[in-house]
Amino acid sequence: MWNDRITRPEPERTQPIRSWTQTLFGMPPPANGERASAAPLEDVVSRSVELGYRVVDDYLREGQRVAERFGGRGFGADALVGDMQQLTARMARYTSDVFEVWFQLLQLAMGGRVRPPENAAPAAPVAAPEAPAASRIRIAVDASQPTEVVLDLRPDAAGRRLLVHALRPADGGEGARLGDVSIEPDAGGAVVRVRVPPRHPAGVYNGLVIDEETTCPAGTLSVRVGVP
Amino acid sequence: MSTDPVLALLDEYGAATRVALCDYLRPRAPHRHLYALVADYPRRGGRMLRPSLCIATARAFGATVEDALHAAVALELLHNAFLVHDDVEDESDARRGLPTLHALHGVPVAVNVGDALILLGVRALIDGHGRLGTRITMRLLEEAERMARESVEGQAVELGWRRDNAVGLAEEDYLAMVLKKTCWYTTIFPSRVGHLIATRSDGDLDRFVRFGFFLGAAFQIQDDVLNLAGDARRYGKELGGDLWEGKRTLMIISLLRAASADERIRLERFLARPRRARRAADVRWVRSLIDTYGCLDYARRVAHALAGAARHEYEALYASLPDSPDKRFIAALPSWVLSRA
Repeated sequence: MWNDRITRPEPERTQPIRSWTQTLFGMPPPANGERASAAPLEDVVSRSVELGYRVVDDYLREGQRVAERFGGRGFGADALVGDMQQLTARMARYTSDVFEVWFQLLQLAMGGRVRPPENAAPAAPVAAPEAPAASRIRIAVDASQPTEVVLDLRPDAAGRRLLVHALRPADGGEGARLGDVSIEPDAGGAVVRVRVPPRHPAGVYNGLVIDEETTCPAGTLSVRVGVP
Repeated sequence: MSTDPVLALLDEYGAATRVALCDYLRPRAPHRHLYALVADYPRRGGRMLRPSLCIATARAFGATVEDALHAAVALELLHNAFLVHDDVEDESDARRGLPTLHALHGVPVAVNVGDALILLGVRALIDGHGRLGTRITMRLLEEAERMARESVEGQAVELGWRRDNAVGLAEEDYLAMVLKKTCWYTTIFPSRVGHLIATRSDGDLDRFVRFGFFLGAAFQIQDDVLNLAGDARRYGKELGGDLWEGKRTLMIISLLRAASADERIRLERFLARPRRARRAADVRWVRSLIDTYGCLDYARRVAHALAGAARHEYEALYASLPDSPDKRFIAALPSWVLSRA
């Protein structure tokens, strides 16, 4: 009875069809036993040129896609001027944003004992650079000491999967790090969690925010821990 | 001087580059195991295609020879660095008619010499700062980094094919590898850099990728053909060396497709062996099979087609420029790369 064993038929091919001309135009390359040069000259020419354009255009498209993802630009004059304008706008925007976040976090850490300065001028309206897709970042701090958190993200970091490693002391020393920090996806954005252990040494702790996909820096996270 | 527009400018710009190159090849310590050897490959000669294309492109767009000379020297130094490293990686025996550097002095010394040539190439680009300014120098360094990255990526692909005994390759795989491994540093980079130096503007540098790809691919296929069917005295490298090294050339890719089932099995076994385990009789068998199936003729036809596309891309890039010896040189290159013996 074992002679009637059912076996799987031999597959017609064991490798993917990798010739796009064969796939698209049904133009098979020289088959087994056939002279490679037997194809008419005009077929070889047109197929080779089509193939060449396909390869180089795919390459250029891939390069453009990667360049856009990395935000890579050269040192051209236009790029430099654009950089300066963007940098100025970003600095102004970040400064006003950062002060606001600092104040809110200080207030949180001090149990609402801090009041905003009466004469605090509203943040100057700044023409925002071309805004990336909107993304909401929530910051959750668990600390028994006064703590300020500054998250400085590149504009193109919105919507990316981010991660942050343990924060190092800003003075460059080898003292205690601030290890319990994370960035996790949250509804419509992300949540930055910072936990400062009790009696943690006062000081400023910094770390890079990394884009998980490209592994490129996407910003910085800075935490100032006050004296208990 | 030659009346051929290509040979005439190769002579002229090659000579100018060689003179400037001397500044970087002067004897100094440590001499015996480094700087004497750094000068070895550059002094063996060479066509000077890359520096000449760079200078000609710069001049065609309005620059002077002097503007492009540091970049031309850098190209030649980087080219020689790649040759030293490639010879080690390919286990090649001969280069420009003489034993390869690692065959003469051992792999560790040769790798270090290659490293030194790369650094000298970077130095040459930096030395152009006084003439070209900070921004263009930075752009040239950026372009050099891109070129080197593309080249090592292409080399990695080809080495991987040999290491893993890839036998299911298609022509597009070969062309994509050649685009990175050969075209970027042979034709794309010299053209882009020449344009950048002359115009001080990035413009649309991607246009030079298309032109450089078709020109460089035709050049590489013709080089592979010469490796099998060239004039042994003029070729300079080991004739048939690509077969000994198991390189996946267009001829081998088309042969793997055209061969009968039995021949293919034997061919795959041959390709799977390391170079030192390959026998002369097997190399002769593969070579005869290439003739049997017309793979050399097929590769020549593909090279001609790609050279035609290069000429088409040339028209799009250079048509608006005034006539000049440099423009005629570039126009003649697609035909010239095919006429090399």
